[in-house]
Amino acid sequence: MRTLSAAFWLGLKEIASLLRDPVLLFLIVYSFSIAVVSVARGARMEVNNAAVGIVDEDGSSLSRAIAAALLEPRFQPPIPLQLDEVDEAFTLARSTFVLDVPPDFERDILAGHTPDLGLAVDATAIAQAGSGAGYISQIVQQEVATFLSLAPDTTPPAFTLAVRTAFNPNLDSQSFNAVMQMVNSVSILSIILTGAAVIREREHGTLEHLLVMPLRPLEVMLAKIWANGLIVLAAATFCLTMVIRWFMAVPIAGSTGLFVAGTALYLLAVTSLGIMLATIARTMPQFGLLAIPVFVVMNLLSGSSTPLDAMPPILQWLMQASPSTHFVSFAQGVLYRGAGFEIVWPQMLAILALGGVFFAIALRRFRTALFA
Amino acid sequence: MFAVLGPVLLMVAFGYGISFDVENVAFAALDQDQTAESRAFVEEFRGSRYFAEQPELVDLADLDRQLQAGAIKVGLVVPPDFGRDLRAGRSPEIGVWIDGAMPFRGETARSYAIGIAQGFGGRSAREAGLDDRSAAVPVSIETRYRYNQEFESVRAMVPGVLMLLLVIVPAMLTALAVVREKETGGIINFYVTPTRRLEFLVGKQLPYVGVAFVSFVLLTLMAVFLFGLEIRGNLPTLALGALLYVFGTTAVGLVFSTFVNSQVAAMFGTAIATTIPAINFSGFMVPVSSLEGATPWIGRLFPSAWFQIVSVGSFAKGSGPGELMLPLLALAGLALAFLFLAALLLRKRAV
Repeated sequence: MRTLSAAFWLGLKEIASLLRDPVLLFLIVYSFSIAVVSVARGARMEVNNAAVGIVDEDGSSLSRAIAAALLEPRFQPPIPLQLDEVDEAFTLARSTFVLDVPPDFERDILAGHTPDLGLAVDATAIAQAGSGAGYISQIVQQEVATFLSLAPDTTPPAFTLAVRTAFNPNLDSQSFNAVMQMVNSVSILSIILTGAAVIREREHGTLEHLLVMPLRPLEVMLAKIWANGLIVLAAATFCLTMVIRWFMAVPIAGSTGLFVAGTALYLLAVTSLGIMLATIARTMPQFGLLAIPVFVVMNLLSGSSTPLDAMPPILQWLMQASPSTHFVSFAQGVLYRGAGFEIVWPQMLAILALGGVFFAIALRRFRTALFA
Repeated sequence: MFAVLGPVLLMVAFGYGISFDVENVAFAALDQDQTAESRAFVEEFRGSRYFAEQPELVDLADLDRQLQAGAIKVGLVVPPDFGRDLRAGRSPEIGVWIDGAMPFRGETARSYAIGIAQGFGGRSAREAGLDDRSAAVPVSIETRYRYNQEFESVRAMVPGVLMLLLVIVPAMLTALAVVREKETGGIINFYVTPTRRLEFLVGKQLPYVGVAFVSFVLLTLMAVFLFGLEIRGNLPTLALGALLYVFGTTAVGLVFSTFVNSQVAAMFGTAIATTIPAINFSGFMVPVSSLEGATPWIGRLFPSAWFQIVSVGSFAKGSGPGELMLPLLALAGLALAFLFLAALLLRKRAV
């Protein structure tokens, strides 16, 4: 009880010192608002607004019809190119696709010659190349068929395919990105805020002040965890309800309360991790160099940017030790698929267990660091 | 030590970890027919390297549950009497459920699923002696995947990771170096001596340009010897681009250091402010040409988008100094611009 009350009062001091740092406050607000919105709106992973160049060596009504059929929002209006401009367009990444309509294309089509149409794809644009090339091929075939006004085939197909997309029918990556960026911000902020709070006290020598006061390491650490954790939790809740759901009008499937509860568990794990890293590093630059690889790996390999099962098995296995992997899977389940507690409890349990381990290690190291 | 080791570790993690290769997508089937035809259809998916089968579904509720838990990404529902209707030419309908929670993944899984189903359809049509309808349109589209025929993520990712690591760490270290002096009071030396602003800044910047260039060399060696990439373009051009780039990214760090007073804020600020343009607006994840609104301009005003072109160009596209003149000039210009901006913002007296 005494521990809790000491931790409570010490935590208020933490919050007060954070509130006095305007830059830090601005950064917290920024990473949960502007960062989330701009990433979600600007960077889309599906084939969207793709840049297509077209080398029209035919100049026929058919080639123009094909160019006109590449429609927004999936494609930008095609940029006319000369043959010798194609390489430059690829090198400077101005076009991701270049369609080459050969001379006499329309005439050959009418004559039934099956001419070759060239489609060059910049395959270093991994996210768009495969699906985009598929869409363009479909569009070309459709346009040629319309041009020849092929009678619709009346024989029924062998079977039909009813493709339904669950949870995000339009496969719109905006909602995906917004939530994942928020999750990433939670990890980054918690590690940096708590870790830096420890390092700053050490560099300023105020950690010694705490030491001579009748406080135990556990109390100091709990104070840092609850104070910084609460701030991040409040910011994340604000981000989910106001920025994502209200401002961006992104539909959120599941329960906000469940998400907040899971986030609180996650915060225990990441704030402990922040303290743990702070006990390893001696100075702020060292802490930065230690923390950055940790949270970048935690974010990028957690399944929030690319799916976990596309990674080598050993890495998938190693990432199970990162609470972010479970948290991302929890957040995706709750917020995209509307999963309830009965589905996501294994992830919550994993987060709690890892949080417990991190907390124990951090406390041990924190004690030795204090009394060293 | 940390400064060089960190990037090396990250390169390993990214090079192996970030993958857009869609393989082994977890799927499960609900075969309500259990005939030779329905099994042949499911077999098509089983045989594909893109899909990995999970235990068969019991009923539709099970399908919902598995999708919701994320245990499967694709669910197939073969209706009762599928085989009989297929033989009778009654066009039975197969249900394909895609988990759209991860849109990029969903889009690719959908096109693979449709492709496999069409393959099955074409074959069963031919077996039944019907025409394959896809041959009806007299056009052949020759798709050439340039620069990365094998379509391996690593070829596109590793040059991008190089770009990423040469911005985050150098910018942060440089910002910290200046702010640290503010916190510890060492900056008084600068205030009281007639050191000029540019001299002070460049003096702070140069060691980190050196450190960053060393990590460039290491990372490039890793790209070649560990990940098996070849430099198809011109190595001196790549090195020149990297040098200009790290001048630019350290200058970005200097700019941050001028208006931030605590090391926490410097570290945090540079981390957030550099990772977002470097990951999202540089062409690393999405081509800059596809960005919308103000974001392509944020991208172009930040050195990363230009070095991404140089890096991918030199590794994958075989571009030389001629083709890369524009990005190199842009990198040089931005490096100078950020340095002068920092000099303008740096006040000679502490507030």
